[in-house]
Amino acid sequence: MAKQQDGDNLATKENLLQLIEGTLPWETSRGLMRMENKDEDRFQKYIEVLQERASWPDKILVRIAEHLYVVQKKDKSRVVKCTCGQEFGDYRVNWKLSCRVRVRKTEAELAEVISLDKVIPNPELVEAREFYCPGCLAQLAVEVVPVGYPVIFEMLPDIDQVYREQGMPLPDQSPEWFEDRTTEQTRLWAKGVK
Amino acid sequence: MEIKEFHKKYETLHERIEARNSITKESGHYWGIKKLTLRDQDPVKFDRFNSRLVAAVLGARETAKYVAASPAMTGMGELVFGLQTREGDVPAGSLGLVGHNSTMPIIVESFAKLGYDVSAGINEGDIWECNDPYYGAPHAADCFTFVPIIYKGQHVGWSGGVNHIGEVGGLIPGAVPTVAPNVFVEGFDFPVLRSGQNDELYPWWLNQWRRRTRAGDSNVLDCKMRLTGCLMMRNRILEVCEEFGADYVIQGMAEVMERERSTMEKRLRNWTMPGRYSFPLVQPVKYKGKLGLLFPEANKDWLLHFPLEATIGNGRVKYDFNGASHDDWHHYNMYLGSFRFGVNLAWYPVFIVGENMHTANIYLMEFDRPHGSVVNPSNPFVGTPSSAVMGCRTGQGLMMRVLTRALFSKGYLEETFAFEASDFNIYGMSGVFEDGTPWGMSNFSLVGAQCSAARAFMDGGISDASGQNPETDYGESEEWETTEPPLLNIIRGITKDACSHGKYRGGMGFTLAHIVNQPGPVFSANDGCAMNAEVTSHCCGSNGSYPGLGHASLFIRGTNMAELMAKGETPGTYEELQDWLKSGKLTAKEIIHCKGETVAHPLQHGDIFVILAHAPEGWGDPLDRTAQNIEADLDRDLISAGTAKKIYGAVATQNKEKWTVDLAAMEKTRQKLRKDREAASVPASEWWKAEREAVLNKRFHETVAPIYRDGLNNEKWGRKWRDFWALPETYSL
Repeated sequence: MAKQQDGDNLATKENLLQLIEGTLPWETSRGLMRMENKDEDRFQKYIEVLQERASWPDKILVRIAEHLYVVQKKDKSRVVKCTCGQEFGDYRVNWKLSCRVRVRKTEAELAEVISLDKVIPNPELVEAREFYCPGCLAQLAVEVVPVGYPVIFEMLPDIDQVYREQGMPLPDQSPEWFEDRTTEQTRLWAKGVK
Repeated sequence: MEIKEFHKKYETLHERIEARNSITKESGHYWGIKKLTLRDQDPVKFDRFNSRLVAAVLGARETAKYVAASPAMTGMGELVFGLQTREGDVPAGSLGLVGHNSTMPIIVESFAKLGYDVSAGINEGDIWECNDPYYGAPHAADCFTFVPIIYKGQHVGWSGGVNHIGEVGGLIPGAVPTVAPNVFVEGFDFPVLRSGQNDELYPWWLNQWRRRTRAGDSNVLDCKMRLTGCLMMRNRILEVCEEFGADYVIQGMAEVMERERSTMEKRLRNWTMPGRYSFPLVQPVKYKGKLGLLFPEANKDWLLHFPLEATIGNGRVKYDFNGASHDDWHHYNMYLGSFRFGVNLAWYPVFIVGENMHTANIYLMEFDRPHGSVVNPSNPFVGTPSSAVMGCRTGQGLMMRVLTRALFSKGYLEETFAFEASDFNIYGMSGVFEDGTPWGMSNFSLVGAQCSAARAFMDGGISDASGQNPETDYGESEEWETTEPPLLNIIRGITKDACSHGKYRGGMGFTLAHIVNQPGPVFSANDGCAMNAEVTSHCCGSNGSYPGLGHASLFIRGTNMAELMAKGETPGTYEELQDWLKSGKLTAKEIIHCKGETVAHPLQHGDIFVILAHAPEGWGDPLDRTAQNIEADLDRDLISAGTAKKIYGAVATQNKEKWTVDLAAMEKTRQKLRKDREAASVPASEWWKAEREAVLNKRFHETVAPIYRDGLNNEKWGRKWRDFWALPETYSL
């Protein structure tokens, strides 16, 4: 029981904030790792801390990447939003399709970002795609894939399920929220719609 | 119903296994056990019983390993023991090579499918072994031994052990042959077979190890080591039967399984974000021009596609490999055992907190592995030596990344953790001594201590992770040298600037370098299990970092290193070695630079063999890295000042070995780098249009095109690919 009690004390919102910002002392981080049973209200505390440090008022539903969140807008739409405030549209469409993209296709271009010359990938086999936020130009993702590989939709969260499991079901829950709608966007592009 | 009643109801082992699977699936509980009766009746007794099981497996490993000769066993503990139920499940496993626990049930299932319980019987003193992936082993190097535990005539369970041997007798020497188009040249594979009776190994079996592999005596000792552990564990469990009764032991093991299954389910549900995660990887395999006139069907290169998609939800995980490359004549074909082995290497560090290592989490998984693909071969003759490697890369490497993202999203940042047991880098070698004795071996040093990827709150670790041991350990360099007599280790340390950069930097790559010393008339070495640097470790980086860097090696021939060493000079680091080459201090007639696995390269006295091991991904945008972290890397000589400026935009100066970053200059440089990003990029819609043209016009490298050809043959992945590029239905490759 003592171990559990210690863990409970460590999983405070103050410590969570430091963990998120990378300033939590190692001993405390290790203490969190060693909790035998994790604090079950972590998700709620996490969202609260994230909301408090956000620079915009939209309600955070989940965090999906270092700079990216799915937020609920006033019109109940759920969109991906960057720390800087840039929005990427419906979270069911791969947010990378709303980024600026830089592609490195030559060894010289790859050498600018890979600092050991002996392990630079073969540009005949793969290209490197860097995805930037159009608002703040943060590098949000990198893919190193063969030419023609579909943009990787790394994570599609089942938001309704996580809120149900937390005992806070969302009022507008529907199976449609857990659908990949990326190709709706590419279909529009194929028709010449930007 | 108690387990013993099920045992009466289903007569053969195979029937019981089938019944266990269907009852567990339908009820959602192991063997339908919803209430832990023994535990509830007397929790203290149950706890004592469980501790006895755990002590039996731990004791077996800690003692038996000293029977072996290889430093991989004695020093690094590259072995694992597991107590198994009658149907093969592991309620208690030892530490060590833990992922292998999850393949033990498959091997017992193979025993059952072969009908051995009926034809040969389950007899006291019988010894069974297996290392063939077709029957459940991850690859031929992973040799399994299991013996029945029989108490007063009643079969109570199995005592199993496995270790990774040093040489399997394949076309390419070592533990993991790197050219093996088919099973005929991949080494000494054997199905489930009886290798001894009355607790003694058959003489022919020991002779077989000596004749069919290049490290016969070492393999014989490994074999005896596994048997020793199994017998020790069996005897401890017989004592437990004496104290608790056989029925209690059988029922108790089942209750432990259900306890652990439900605990894992709860943790998975509570800690992870439900959702769909996609983390593919591509793996180059290069055979073209390497096999001469042999195996014309394998005279080509591949870029194998492993498109893992994992869906987490309702306390379960579904693994989906639709779209994977088809099986073919190379060494990366993978059966279920390999994948399950890798998967548990990912699950254990995250979800196991108690004292039991176990296989109960297998019942929380579903697998979709298309038949005829590289992850579920339909051709039983295709090669498999690197199936375990790919099991790690997909089951562990990709799954750790899935879990890391799922934990991060749920707020458990402290548990985010990923590394690459897949880049074992078990390099192989063989030769002939001056007296004419042939020999062969592998060196596992880099298996024992890999670097880890950056986490959501800190840099990746250096030599801090191992899929094989709870404690990282390269083993003693001098001990390894005794197993590889012609190789003298001259460099063993981190490789400067070898990392994936990010807000948090990935773990640093590692260099091993050897000089060849008096090798005898014949000697060759090959780099194996090496993540190929022609691509990155996986297709995705993490949150804006680049994916992990692959692996390279150098074979430096005809050097003057022996003369330099005679004067007492050796390079201390890879950087110094490079400086010496550039300045002409170190001369060489030829330098062969390889990426990933290599064929065996003949080497002579004075040649140098360098391994540049991989470095996993960072986390986040490099331009978010703090000045303090950049200074720390410079102070520790992990990165150069040039890299600090180019990648991080940090202008740093050194004063008495301490580096200081000019904050104002850094901010200015970073603003410029962001402007560069804007200038060099286009909106995704424009990029998509241009890339689509390449797809429509089929402008693919010949090694890449088969990925899409196979993908189109798969209904699910093919549909996804066609839709993404808005391709006409008539499109084909």
